[in-house]
Amino acid sequence: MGRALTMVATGAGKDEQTDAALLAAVAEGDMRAFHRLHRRYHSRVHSFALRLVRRSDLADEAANDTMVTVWRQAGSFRGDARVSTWVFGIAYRTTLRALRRVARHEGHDEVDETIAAPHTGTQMVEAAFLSRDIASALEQLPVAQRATVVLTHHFGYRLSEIAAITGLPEGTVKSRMFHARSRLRELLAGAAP
Amino acid sequence: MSDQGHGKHTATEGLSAASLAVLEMLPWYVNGTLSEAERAEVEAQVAVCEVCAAELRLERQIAEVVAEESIDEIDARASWSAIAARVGEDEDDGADDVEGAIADDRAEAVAGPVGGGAPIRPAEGRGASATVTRLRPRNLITRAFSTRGLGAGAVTLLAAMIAGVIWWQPTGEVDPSGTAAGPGFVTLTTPSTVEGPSVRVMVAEGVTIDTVRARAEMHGLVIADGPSSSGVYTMTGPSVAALEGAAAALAEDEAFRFVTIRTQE
Repeated sequence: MGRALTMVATGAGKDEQTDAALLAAVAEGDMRAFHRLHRRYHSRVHSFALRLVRRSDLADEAANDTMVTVWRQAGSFRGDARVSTWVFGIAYRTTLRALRRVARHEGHDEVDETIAAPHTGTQMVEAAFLSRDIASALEQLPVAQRATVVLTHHFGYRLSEIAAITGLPEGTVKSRMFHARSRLRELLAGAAP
Repeated sequence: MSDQGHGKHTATEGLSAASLAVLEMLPWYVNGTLSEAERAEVEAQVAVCEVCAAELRLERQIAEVVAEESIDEIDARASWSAIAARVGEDEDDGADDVEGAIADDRAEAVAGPVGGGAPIRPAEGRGASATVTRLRPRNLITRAFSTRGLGAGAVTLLAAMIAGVIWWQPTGEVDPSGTAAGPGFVTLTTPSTVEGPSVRVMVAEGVTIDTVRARAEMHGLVIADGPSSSGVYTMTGPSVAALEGAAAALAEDEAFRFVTIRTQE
C-alpha cells in the first residue's frame, strides 16, 4: 500500500501568502509552504549567522538547523510576534549553540555569548579608512553585542523585536548596544593614528 | 577621525539622566524604528548635548558600515536539498503517524477534505494503487481533520475528478525524445509503470522536454517516463527525501501545472 501521494497545484492563483499563513500551512505539513518560507528566510538567516560566527561552515549549519527547527516547531508559533522575529530568535539560539559547541571542541570549558567569534582573537584594528576601522572594530565585539548591532543596523529590527529574538529584557538590549558603542569607540580610538 | 567623536570622551559619566536615556535610544533613532515622540525626544537632546551629537555621528557611521557590509549570498537551492532530506527523515521516523493519516485521508477522499484550505488532491481509485495524504510533522498529522469545510472539500474532490477525466487521453509510451507517441493512457493519477518512488508532473503549455530534463537534473532527478500526449512526465530520484524536496521545488516552478509524488507502490 502506498504511503504518500502529494499533489499540489501550481501556476495560476499563486497569491502572495503572508508569512503567518505560510507558517500555519507548514504546521499542517505543507511542504510547498515550507519551501516558500525557506526561500524567504534562508538567505537572511544565513547572512545573520555568518555575521555572528564569521565561518561559512558554521553559518551553513546554523541556517539549515534553523530552517529544520522552523519545520518542526511551526505549530508552536503563537502569533504574538512577527514570524521573522520568531525565525530570527531560533536562528540566534541555534547560532550561539553552534559557537558553544565549537568552543568546547577547541578546549574551552564553557563558552557564553560574551566571547568574540572564534577567529577574531589575534585580529587587530588597523588605522586606515574609517569604514574599515569600524568593520574591523565590529569584529572585536563579543558575539552578543555584535548580534544586537547587526539586528539593529543590518536587519532594521525594533528594540522590542531584538528583545524577543534574544530573549532578553529591553533594558538589557539597550545596555548591550550602549556597551557595544563604547567598546567600538575605544577600539577606534586605539586604531587612530 | 577624532573629530568625529571617536575619542575616549568618557564624558558620559557626567551626563544628565535625559542625555543618558537618549544615548540608549540612538541605535533605533538611526534605524528609524522609534516612535514620533521618541524621535522628538532624541532630536531635542542632541541639539543641546555635544556628547549626544558625537555619539549620534558614531552610531550613524556604525550603521552605514553594518548595513552595507557585503557577504556572499549562498545558493538556497543547495540548502533546500539538504533540509528537505532531513525533513524527509522526520517523516520516515513517523511512519505510524503517516499510516494513520492515510486512513484519515481515505475517509476524506470520500467525504471531502476538511479545513477548506487543503491543496487539490487527486481522487483515489481509477486503478491507482497509491493513497493520498500530505506531508505532516508527526505531532500534527491529525490536526487538519476537523468537521469544518466539508462543502469545500467536496468541491475540491469534484474538481480533481473532473481534471482526471479531462486528462484521460490517449498518450504515448516512454518517449525520451518527446517526439513520438504510442498507445496507452497516462494521467497524473493512473498507475505508474515506473517501479519505486517517483514524481509525476504535468507541464504547462509550451514547455519542452529539454526544459523538463534540465529542471529534473537541477533537482537530482531523471526522467523515467514521458511525455504523455497530455504532457505528463514521471521522474525518479536517489531517495524519497530527494523526491519530496524536488517535488516541493517543482511545485513552485511555472513550468509545471501539477506535481505529484508517489513514495511507495
